[in-house]
Amino acid sequence: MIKSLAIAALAGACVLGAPAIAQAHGNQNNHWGDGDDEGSKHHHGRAPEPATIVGLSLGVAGIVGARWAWRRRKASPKR
Amino acid sequence: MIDSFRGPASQIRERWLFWVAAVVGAAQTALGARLEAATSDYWPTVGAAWVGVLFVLWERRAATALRSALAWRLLGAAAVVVSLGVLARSPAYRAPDRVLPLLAGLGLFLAASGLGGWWRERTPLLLLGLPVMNPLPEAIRNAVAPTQVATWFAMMIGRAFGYPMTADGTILRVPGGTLDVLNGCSGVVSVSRLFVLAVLVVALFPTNARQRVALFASAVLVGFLVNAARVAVLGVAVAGEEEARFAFWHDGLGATAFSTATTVLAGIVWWLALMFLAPRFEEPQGHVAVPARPGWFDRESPAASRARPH
Repeated sequence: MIKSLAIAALAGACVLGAPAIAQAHGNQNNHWGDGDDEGSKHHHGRAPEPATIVGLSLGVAGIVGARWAWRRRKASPKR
Repeated sequence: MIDSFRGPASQIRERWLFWVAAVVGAAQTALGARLEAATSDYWPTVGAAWVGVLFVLWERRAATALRSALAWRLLGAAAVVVSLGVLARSPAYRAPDRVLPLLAGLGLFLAASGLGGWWRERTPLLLLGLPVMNPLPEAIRNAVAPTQVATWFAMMIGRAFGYPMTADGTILRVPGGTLDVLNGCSGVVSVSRLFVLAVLVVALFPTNARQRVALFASAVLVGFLVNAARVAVLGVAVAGEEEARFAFWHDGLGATAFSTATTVLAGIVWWLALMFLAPRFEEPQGHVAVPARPGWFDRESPAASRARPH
């Protein structure tokens, strides 16, 4: 079971890690921007990238981990 | 147990669909990440969808035998190649790119099970449809963005902490200046992101209708309220005329902290919903407990149900 989880986690890490490799080649285009007026700040609607990646990755890891633990608990013999 | 007696080659053959999906998923996510885009949500959503699909496929080890006719296999392979080719050739993100993960999934499952196997693969296909929903199309985002309400909530949160703020439509007025809250900062982006995770929960856990309603309703509430708190914090930064502090909370580590808090808070609420809104079964003495009903996505097709002898 642990081996299965490790392989599944590795495959998941590859899926999520692949963009980092693509980014290392410098193809990523980030152009965040704030337009400042006098005495005011407009903040653009687009969410910053680290926030998106961290928020979604954390959520996916938590859900998949919880599902695995739940399945394991269900499969274990009742005391 | 039997697995331990099989060699790695045999295990890879048995799980061929998982490995092919892992390669296609990694390639799509990587190709999506290199696109010039006005949104940063596309490739993380593609990656999240494929991770969910890989989890589902890994659990279904025995059900991935190649059972389709040669024509379906060729057609499926062509769909996968087209989905990757279109992404590889595209220099910038375009709206039709949203359906490419779904196209790749349809191709994979067509090659694996033929036309009749699609119903069995509805959970992975639903997950691969997530990039259609997130990032929210701009027209829909602008139509549903509760920007004025978000500004009002941000004002209330700021006032609750002793900062004199006033809301004037979508403008948050603070003593040192004003903050113009745009549609993208209304919380709709956070809610859309939480919807992706909520769909993942529904796909992976058995849930009843009440739980599903609670999952999506709490995604709206948590995403909206945490974002309103972030806007209030940005208002405080404007009031203090602190550029660095504004940048920190707007697109620096502070924004990541809010995103993390949103996910963690939603996770806690969802865990409570799954724990306490579960159907309760009576267990009279001497009777066997009634097993929990399977989730919507775990039910078998009506045709399969009819075919089974009762």
